[in-house]
Amino acid sequence: MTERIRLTIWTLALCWPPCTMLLTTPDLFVHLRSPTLPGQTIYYVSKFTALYAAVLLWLQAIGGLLSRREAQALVLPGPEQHRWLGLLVLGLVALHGGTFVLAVSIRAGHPSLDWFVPAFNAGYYKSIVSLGVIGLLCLVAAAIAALLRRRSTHWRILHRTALAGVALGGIHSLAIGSETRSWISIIGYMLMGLGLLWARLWRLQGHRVALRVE
Amino acid sequence: MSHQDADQAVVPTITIGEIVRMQEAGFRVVFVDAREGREYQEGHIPGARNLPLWKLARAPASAPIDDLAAADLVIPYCAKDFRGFEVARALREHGVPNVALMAEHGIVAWTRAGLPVERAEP
Repeated sequence: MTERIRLTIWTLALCWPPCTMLLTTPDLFVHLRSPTLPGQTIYYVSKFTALYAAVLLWLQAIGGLLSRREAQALVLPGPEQHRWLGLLVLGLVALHGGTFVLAVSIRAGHPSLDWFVPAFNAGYYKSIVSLGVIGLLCLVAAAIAALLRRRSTHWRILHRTALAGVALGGIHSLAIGSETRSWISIIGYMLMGLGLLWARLWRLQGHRVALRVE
Repeated sequence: MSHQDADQAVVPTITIGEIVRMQEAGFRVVFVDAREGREYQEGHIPGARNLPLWKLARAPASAPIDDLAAADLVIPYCAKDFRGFEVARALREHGVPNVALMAEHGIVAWTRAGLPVERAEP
């Protein structure tokens, strides 16, 4: 039964990004196969990787918020998968940022690496991109903490920066606009938000029950 | 993909200089700002209307684009025309002719050319 739930969650999660792309860019394949502006196709790759990064980061966060037993039952079979998924998410987020900067650089005709530098005094769009950059840095810190887990007993504290990464990534993806304002995105983000809330409350409830038993 | 689809997918470009000359000659040029409302408020091309892709997708047959068909030139734009390109494609799909993009791409190029922008009250 739990395996079926896990399979359903993963199937829905993995189907969400392509469905969102196809519904918000209905003629995507015509776009991809016809002459377009420089960098536009890479821009679509950036958007697509962002959607996968978002949904996989959500699964990773759910796995982190639940107890190990519950996480194994509902999201990830074991800690080894948590590590691999974490690396995959980090890679996808980096790919999203890298392809975005590449697309802008191609369009501008010169390297636009300044997008990697957070700044909150250069308008709304730059501020929202900056939140995404800081979110990526939080995820890098969490990954470093996981690598140091055998050397330090305090690694869990640093690893929790991943939650800040989830929050900043969520704000970044919702506030950046375009396809995230479509109905399929809104439903997806609402379900993800409710899932995180449920996981947190479930864990707290578990703690309360354990304290009562003690 | 048919030949017609390929033609439909192409969005022509026009230089900012030509756009300005058309405006000065009395042609009706309409700018469509494809960015989010907050970005539009921070500064947009004078007279531009704010129409992000998601608004266009939600109400494809609504009034905001009806009068665009009568314009001599419709120029969607954003910062560097990634979103502007998508809105240009969507407008063409909704039957708006004379849609083109700025050859220099977006409001960034517009301001670099020393042309004015106006702010909107929130």
